[in-house]
Amino acid sequence: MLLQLQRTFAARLLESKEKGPSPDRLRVDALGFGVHANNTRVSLRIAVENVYPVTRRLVGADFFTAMAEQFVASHPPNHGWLSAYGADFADFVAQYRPAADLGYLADVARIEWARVRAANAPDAPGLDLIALARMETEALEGLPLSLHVAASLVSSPFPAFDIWRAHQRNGGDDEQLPQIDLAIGPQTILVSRPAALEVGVALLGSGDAAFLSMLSEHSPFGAAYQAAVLEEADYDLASRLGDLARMRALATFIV
Amino acid sequence: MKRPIVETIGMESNHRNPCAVHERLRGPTVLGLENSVGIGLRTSHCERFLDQNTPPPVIWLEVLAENYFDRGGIRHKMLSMIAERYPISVHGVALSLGSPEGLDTEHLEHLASLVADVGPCLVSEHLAWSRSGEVYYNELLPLPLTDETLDVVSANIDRTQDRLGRTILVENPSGYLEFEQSTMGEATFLTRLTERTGCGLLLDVNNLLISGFNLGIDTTEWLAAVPADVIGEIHLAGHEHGGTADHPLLIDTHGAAVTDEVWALYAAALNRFGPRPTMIEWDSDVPSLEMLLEEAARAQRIMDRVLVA
Repeated sequence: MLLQLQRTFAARLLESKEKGPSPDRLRVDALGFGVHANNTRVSLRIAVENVYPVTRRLVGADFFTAMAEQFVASHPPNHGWLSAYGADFADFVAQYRPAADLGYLADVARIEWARVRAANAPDAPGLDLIALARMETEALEGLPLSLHVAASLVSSPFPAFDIWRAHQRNGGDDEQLPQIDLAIGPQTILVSRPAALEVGVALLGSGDAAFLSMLSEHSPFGAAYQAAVLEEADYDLASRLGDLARMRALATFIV
Repeated sequence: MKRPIVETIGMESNHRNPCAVHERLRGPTVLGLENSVGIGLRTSHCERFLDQNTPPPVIWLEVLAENYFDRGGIRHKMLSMIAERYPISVHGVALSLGSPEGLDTEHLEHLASLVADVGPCLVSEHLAWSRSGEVYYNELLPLPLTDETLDVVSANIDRTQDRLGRTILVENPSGYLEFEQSTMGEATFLTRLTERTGCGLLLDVNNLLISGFNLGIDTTEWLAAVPADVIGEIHLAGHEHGGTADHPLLIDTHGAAVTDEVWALYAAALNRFGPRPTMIEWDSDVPSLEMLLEEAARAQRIMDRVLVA
């Protein structure tokens, strides 16, 4: 009996307010049911809001609330811990018709999700440059380096990094926002956890972007380096690897 | 504390009497927290608690368990550092003890890892359900108070306590609706739960006040009916007025100062049960740490008066 009662009760919790809440067959107080339904919808929407503050500012509170509530209703969480909730929100935003004009919006959301991922990822050692330097050239060529478990790449056809960063600096005052030319072209962003208590968001040069993109697609070290050189003829591997290791972009490797 | 034989649904067949296999409910005296007030640890205050030079003056801290289920990363690291200096109480909100489908094993394992990592002084959960099928609703949903529900919740508490190797405290809910099916009152249900499983209770004074207002529970009778020795912790929080003019409701928000009525009921609870570790729960519209500490100091003054008397 309890099982069926809960199924009936739960089925109405995420329905929109307009449909009228209380599940008739349960004969429970409609107003009381409404409190639970409202708490459910609002608390899950706030969980999404907390992860995507810049996305929210870009579209305004009302637009975001409507978008996030639709997301919650169609993608309710499957776990009782919410650190992984909202992972597919950026894909939802990309498909969300009312935001179709804002091509960059989903990419900004991807940066915000990557920050959460970086913050919550398990602790794992980064690339050991000394071990790398000891390797024979031939072995190095075929080495399958991979991104660190806390690191993500976001590749956007828009200046998504500039948009995201503009909203970090002005303390919430839209009047102070710089003009950003959407035509300045694609940006690739690295989000990682360079130190135990720190999340980093960095705009990558075209060589680094090509190098890390290839590695993230499981290309071997040699092929990734060649891709970087195609982008930046003077790509200085030794110095770039140092920087990328400091940002904890890359995982340690096992030979 | 003999457990009755349970006839229903075969959920219990594998469970031994937990009292026999793990640590009994630890009395507040054992914890050394009996006369002390804690506050909830909120993300925005974490850095203050990591400050070596001027650590905030509070005896213990309570964390929402599910916020720390990732066993790595920044939050977990901060909690580990804070737990080296402050006793921690782990308060779960999503285990769904009222689920007849049984507990989510992955959830229970995360909770067990957190408890192993932090070594908390108290572990608590709620009399509620929050999951149905594959969906988690992020809300403490109400249960009809029946023998079937008692069997379900007891089996889930047994499993939790067996896995954690310790007893837990179960919090009374804030009620907004009643089920026609209910066959017993909340105080009776909770007391029977403690008899069946050996668990203790976390008395949320604000929830009790809310259920008193919304559902007509007699709070004085409630306090008189529940045995003093099962109360392991007390929560204090604020609430808001909602509902309609014809049907006003008090709504639990954890987003406001403790009200005068809650303070008065807290004093009554302490007079009835004796001093208990008490926690200020304020987790939406989180105020400054100073404001939380002031609320804690006020609770401490009330507790001190009870101790003198």
